[in-house]
Amino acid sequence: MAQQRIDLKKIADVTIAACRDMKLNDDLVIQEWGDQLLGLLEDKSCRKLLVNFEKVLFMSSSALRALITLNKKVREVGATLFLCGIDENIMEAFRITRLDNVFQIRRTEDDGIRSFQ
Amino acid sequence: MNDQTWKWSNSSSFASDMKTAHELIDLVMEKLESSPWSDKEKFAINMALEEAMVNAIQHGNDSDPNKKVHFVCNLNDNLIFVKIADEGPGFDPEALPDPTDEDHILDNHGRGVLLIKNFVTRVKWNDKGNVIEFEKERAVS
Repeated sequence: MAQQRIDLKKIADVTIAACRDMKLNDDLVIQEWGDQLLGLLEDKSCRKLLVNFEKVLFMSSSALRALITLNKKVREVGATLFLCGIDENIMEAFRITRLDNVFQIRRTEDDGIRSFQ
Repeated sequence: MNDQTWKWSNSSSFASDMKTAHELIDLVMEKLESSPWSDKEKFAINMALEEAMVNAIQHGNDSDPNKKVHFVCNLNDNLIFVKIADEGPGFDPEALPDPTDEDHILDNHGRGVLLIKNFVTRVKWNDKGNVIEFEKERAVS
């Protein structure tokens, strides 16, 4: 059975998914994490999604790939996605790959929540 | 770099398995823990090791447990040298599409190699493309 990879909460109509793992580099962890994020979008009440990375200290390109898959699904269902709490070192990986231009990234969870309004 | 005196060295060969690769990466990171390398540099080394291991095991050896990965790491307080060889057909890193290009930014290929190139000081592959060597120098503080 898959381990829970995200902690969920809802503030108004914003679904906040906080990553539980400190490292997103193991294939199984990334698969479960990605599937759980994608699964949130199956619920039509989840159309504003904020993914919080504040616990994450390392993520590989495989995890970035899972985020791209999530972003495609977000567009398919007409949802909005923001990312927040990204460690500065990980942010450098976003900048190098230019994914900082693909994703809407906010510094804190509060900043992210405000961005939906 | 033959004049370097290494504080720690490791040479291992192992079956294509990310669990073993992660144990080796963790060992390297543990050796860097009580060193003058900055957190930013340690992150960069971790990233380069991760992506090079994934390339060797999953792309090079196609996760075939009968194929081995050969790993060499030498480090001191100023330099880390890593060599990772797989038993796959090799690839041409220059032939990969640029994953930052607008047409390829959502593709699934080339991002790992791009990260390695950006996070280390020097990187090269052999002609066949199944052996990577990289070095990272510690910034002078």
